[in-house]
Amino acid sequence: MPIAERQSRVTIKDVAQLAGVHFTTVSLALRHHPSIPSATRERIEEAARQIGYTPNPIFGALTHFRVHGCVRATPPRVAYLVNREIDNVPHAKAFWEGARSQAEILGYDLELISVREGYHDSKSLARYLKAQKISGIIIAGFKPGLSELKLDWKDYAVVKIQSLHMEPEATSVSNDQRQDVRIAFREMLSRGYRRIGLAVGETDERSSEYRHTAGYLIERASVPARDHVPQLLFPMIEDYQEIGQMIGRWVRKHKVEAVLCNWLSIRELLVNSGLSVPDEVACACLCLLEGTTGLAGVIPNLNMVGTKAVSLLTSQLKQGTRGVSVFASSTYVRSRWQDGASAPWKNLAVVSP
Amino acid sequence: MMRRPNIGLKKYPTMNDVAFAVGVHPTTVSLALRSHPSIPLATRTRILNAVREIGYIRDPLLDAFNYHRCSKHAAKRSASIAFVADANSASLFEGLAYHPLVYEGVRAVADPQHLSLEIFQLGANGLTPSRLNTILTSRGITGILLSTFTLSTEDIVLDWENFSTVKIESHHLLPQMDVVSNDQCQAARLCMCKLRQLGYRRIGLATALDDESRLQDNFSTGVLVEQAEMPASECVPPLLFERTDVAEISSHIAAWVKENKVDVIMTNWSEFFRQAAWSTAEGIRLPTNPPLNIPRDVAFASLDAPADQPHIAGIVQNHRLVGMRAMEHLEVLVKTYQRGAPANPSGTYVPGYWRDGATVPRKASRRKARV
Repeated sequence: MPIAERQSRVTIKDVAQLAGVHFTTVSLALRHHPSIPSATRERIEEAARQIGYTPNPIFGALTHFRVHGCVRATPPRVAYLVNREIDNVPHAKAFWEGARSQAEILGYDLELISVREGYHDSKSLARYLKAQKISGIIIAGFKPGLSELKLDWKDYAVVKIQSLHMEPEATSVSNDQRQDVRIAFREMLSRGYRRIGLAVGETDERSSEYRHTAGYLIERASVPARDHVPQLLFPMIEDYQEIGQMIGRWVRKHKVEAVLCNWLSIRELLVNSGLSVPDEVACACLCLLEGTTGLAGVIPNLNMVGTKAVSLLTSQLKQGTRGVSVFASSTYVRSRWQDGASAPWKNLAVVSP
Repeated sequence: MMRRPNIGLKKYPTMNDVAFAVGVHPTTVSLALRSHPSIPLATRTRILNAVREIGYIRDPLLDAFNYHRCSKHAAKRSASIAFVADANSASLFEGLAYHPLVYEGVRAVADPQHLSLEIFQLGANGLTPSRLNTILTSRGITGILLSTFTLSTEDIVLDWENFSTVKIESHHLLPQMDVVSNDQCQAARLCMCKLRQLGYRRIGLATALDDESRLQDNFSTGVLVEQAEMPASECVPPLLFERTDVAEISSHIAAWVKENKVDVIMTNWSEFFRQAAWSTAEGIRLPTNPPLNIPRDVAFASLDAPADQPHIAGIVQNHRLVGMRAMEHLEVLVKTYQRGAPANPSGTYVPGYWRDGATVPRKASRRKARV
């Protein structure tokens, strides 16, 4: 058969030929089936990109009809809303990347939309969403104090990533701050620190319903009262120096031996206030990034938070759930501990034989 | 123009018949049956009633045809789900109506998607984990819901890397999987807020030690968060008791109430309501030492108010919603091939709501001041 004539469209078989595999392998690989080694999958994805293969929507619809008994049109679009630039905020970027890849796997079209000065306001956003027939929204890590949102919530399925300080009452996802503090507290305790203090940003606490504080209270209740340190909620101000001084004063006043803080810059803040880390005071970060060295703390899986947000939203869209939810569930993703020079074992002599 | 079917020749009711009876367009019926949000709830209810009345079911011939087409792939794509429960927790299937509610929620999500469910009770009828593993593997079941397990089951050995799994409630159970549970911390916080609104000031949490470890100290955390905002004179230390027999626990509670001047007991444990009869006039008299009358001596708020005892005030937990959320979660995991224990397991929490009841009468604030 004259191939050039027949081929008005690139098919999965062309990808197979190019990659040197069976076409069913291509099909499985493009759906991330675990039976296909990731090296093979990447090769196939590369081949698909190279010759410009996209799934045939008609076959897709037919298959969907056969399996589910109904036809699905184009992939539904979902909005991913942010109220600040995310490229320079590693945490915000990690949410987005997790969300984007999950949307791709589940067959949704995820669109990043900015709501802030110079971009959309609530009114123009509502118009845009309507015009684009978008009914699923992820409110991703809105920072208190910046632009907020007012939409007619009953028209939308909504999932929030953090952003608990604002409307609407909706399903939410976050890293497990309460458990993060508990992990960090116990790790510090096991390293020989006694007076362990929590210092977190006040706005961060507001957008997470004081979950750091909750974890701190329950752990602190398990140590003798003489070791209790009152937590420090520092305000969100431009002047980092001032925040550093504030934390320094609090450390000195309460003789804090180990600081748990959700800011990546905690070590610098302490050093800038004239304290030597870890000699005078140890510290652990509650929101470490993968690959950070020299700092002990918990590393949240922020990609997974984004992933879960998309999963939860698609469940709602599928069931036709819209609007404010009276019994909105909250999902928290666990983090893991990482050792670091900022929190060494206190009595090394005891540990080493 | 509508042709009447011949009398005596039975015709399957169609969507058109439903539409005709309700007075809407057939497409509206179709949308309503799929709970499309564009159809108002009232209309949907009307249509569902008509469907029941007329006896409309999806055309069995078309269904059979679809089934036939799909069954060619059945071995690979039948995503049936195992609902695994503990033989020890079998009692939860009766009495408190806990498991049936969770299961109902699970089915509410699974059924519309044609996911079949099967209940397995580990430990009952010689069902060991390894036997379960064999059954699940040979049936091609890839999704597992681990329903509430008692503390005595700590670890279940299955080939977890072959299954997508979601746990319900049992945080303690290994391996660490994604968990969906009631929001016990929110329950404790909401309960304290309501009790304070009703005039109570000495609110005491009493709960079993093993419940707290099963639920990651969630009740205590809620209490501590609320107490952080209260004057120290109103903070009652929680009572965490060992799970012994009912009479002993009741006596523990009575002594603790007296010692701490507790004016309302807040607990997820309501067994002592099964020791004596409740009467509207007299409340309940507990055979403890010292004897205790609820609500005269002390009020009582449940953190898991049972449906069958409406006189007990407290937090009603949304067990059905927990089941729904768990099934939704599992469905995505199955579909995206997330098998085995995740490196970063997640916890999903479903909030409960307050219910008034005779065990927590509104407290007259004047009298409180004099006492």
